[in-house]
Amino acid sequence: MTAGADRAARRGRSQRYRPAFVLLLVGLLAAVFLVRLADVQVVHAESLRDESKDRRSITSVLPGPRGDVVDADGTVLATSVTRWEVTAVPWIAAKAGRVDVHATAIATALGLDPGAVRTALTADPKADYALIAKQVTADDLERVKRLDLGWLYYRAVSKRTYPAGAVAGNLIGFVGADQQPQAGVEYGWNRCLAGQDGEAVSESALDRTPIPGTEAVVKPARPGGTVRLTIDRDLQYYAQQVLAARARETGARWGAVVVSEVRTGSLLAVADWPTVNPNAVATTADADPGALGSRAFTAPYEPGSTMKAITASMLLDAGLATPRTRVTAPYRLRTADGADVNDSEQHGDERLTLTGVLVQSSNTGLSQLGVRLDDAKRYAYLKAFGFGAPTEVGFGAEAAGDLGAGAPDWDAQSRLATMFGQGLTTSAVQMASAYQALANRGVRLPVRLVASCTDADGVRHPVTTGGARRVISAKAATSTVRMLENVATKGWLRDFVRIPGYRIATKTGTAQESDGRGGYAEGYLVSLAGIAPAESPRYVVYVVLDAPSRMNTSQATAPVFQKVMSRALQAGGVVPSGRSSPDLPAGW
Amino acid sequence: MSTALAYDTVRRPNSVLPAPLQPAPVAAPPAPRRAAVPVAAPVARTRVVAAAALVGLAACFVGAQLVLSIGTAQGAYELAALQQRSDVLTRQQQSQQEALRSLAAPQRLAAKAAALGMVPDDSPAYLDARTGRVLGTVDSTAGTAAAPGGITR
Repeated sequence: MTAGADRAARRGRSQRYRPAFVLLLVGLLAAVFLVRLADVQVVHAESLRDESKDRRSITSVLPGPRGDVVDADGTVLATSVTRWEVTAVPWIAAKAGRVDVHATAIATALGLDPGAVRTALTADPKADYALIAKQVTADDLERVKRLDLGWLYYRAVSKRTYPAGAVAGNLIGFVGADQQPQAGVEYGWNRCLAGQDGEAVSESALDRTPIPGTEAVVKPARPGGTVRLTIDRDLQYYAQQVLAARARETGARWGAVVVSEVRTGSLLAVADWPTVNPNAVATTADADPGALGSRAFTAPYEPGSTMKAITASMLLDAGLATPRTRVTAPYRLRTADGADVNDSEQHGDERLTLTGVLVQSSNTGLSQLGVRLDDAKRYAYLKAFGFGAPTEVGFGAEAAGDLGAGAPDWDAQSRLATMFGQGLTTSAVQMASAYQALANRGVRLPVRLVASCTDADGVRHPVTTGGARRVISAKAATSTVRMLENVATKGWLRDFVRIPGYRIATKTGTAQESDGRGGYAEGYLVSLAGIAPAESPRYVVYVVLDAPSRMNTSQATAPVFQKVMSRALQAGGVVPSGRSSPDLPAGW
Repeated sequence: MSTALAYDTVRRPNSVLPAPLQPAPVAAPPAPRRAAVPVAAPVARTRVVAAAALVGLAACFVGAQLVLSIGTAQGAYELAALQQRSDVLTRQQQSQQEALRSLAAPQRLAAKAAALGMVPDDSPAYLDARTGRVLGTVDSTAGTAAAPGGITR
């Protein structure tokens, strides 16, 4: 029994040590793991992470779509749509076999040349990547997806599109092939419109494509905001249409129509001809690069007689004349200081009132009355009317206009010429804005093209463009409008500008154009500014046509004004005036 | 004879079971180690029950896990299918909206209207309800849409 007891004792001892031994073993193992863990997680963490990221994950861009441009009613004028880029993995395609058959099927689905698809797939049979097609539409995408080819991959890309085509294309602008803004509101309001791309990381498969379901968003995409214009799309279309028809008919070089809302200073339509179709910019860029923007904003020109109404309103405001102030207007006027002006048509001495001066558009008559106003004061008035500085719109490459050399210390000739719109330059929008001030009882409102920017969270940021400014007294403004009503009823274009039922106020302009060498060129720039209804003005329509070769008088502009103003009054639901314009004496 | 087996409660459970039921006032005192047997017996029994319960529980867990994961996987497939369907519908919706916006463009509406023989009314006339007078003339008009040089696309 002693041997048995011995064994038992030994067994007892070994049983006592066994747990300790196991514990030691476990402890050692844990230590090894700990060391390895520290090695992986701490010592080599950085390099390992980088290595794994390169090998196992793919970073993809989450597109932050560009915001829309909408008109005053919210109708979309510019938006972003999704197109797809189709790529293939040639080595898997080669492994799968029947490349020719598949290439033909893909080409049929996407409307491509089968040869080109085959070339793309077989050019480098070991390649990981081959581009099959860009800008694939959703319908084509569905068709190609139905082929069920595992080695085709699809990537969504954003594309800018303009549903209304050339309507307001001059204002909205366009984006380049890289989807970056290049002109118009797209460019000027990019900060509101641009989205911010996000970033996602996903695990990579053997062929360097993301494994579905492993995508994790690192940085969410942020869509761009919506820019709301003050433009009425339908009126804009109509104005463009009427302008284009008339410009072709009269053989003009270019033309513009500006419709301004008197009570808000908002631009309801700014038509340009020729104009750009933002969906097909290249066509315009080849034919007429100047038409890529909006000449209504960017082209400065000598406005001519439409300026006479502005000068007359200054005289009334300064108390230096009334609509009945008398003047004798000769055909030609030579002043003591060497100025020499004449009227457009030969005539004897005419006895005119200030109203008559506007009706007859007499340069000599206005010059004699205009000198009553101090030059510095007239300069200040011009500035207050918005001339000589870009408007509040801040359109790309907007023209400031030029109030003449040395203004307000004009030379003798310029001093008189600037009174009737020669020797200084303005843009179409500036002139429309000055008439807005006349129509709005002497208060000029900041010109507005963009009403608001609504960001992706739905917060609306109205555009603030400064406050209203009184330029002339309400009485002077109203009297000027009354005089312009007499121009509309008695002027030589009375039958062409009449809008049945409404009292309208108009002034034409036929300006000589600078030839760029200090003299005047052959062609004339013709224009017409009008206000309706005259008793309670709602709209200003300003039309300008440059060098109409088949009709070089302001008659070229009359039907454009008549039609666009009629449409504006109709669309705005303006009640007809119900009575005729007051009759002011034009002569004595 | 070795007494080691006495510890082997699992292998020989029955050999120790009756022990507590038989009081042994007159029996010779057994080997001291045997005295532990009556104490060990209930412990052994509880362990069996506990082990069985544990195994059963584990089996339940595995089973539940299986059912859950099958359910989840099924749900994931369903989710993926629905997601795909939703993507397709979104694409269709966008494509339709694109087509609609393009059709709603004024120049296309005008072209459609012109095709129906309609012309835009460039000189509207009004009827004064109080006097019955017509303001303006209600002549037919050639319309601007017919004029060349306009926007067509």
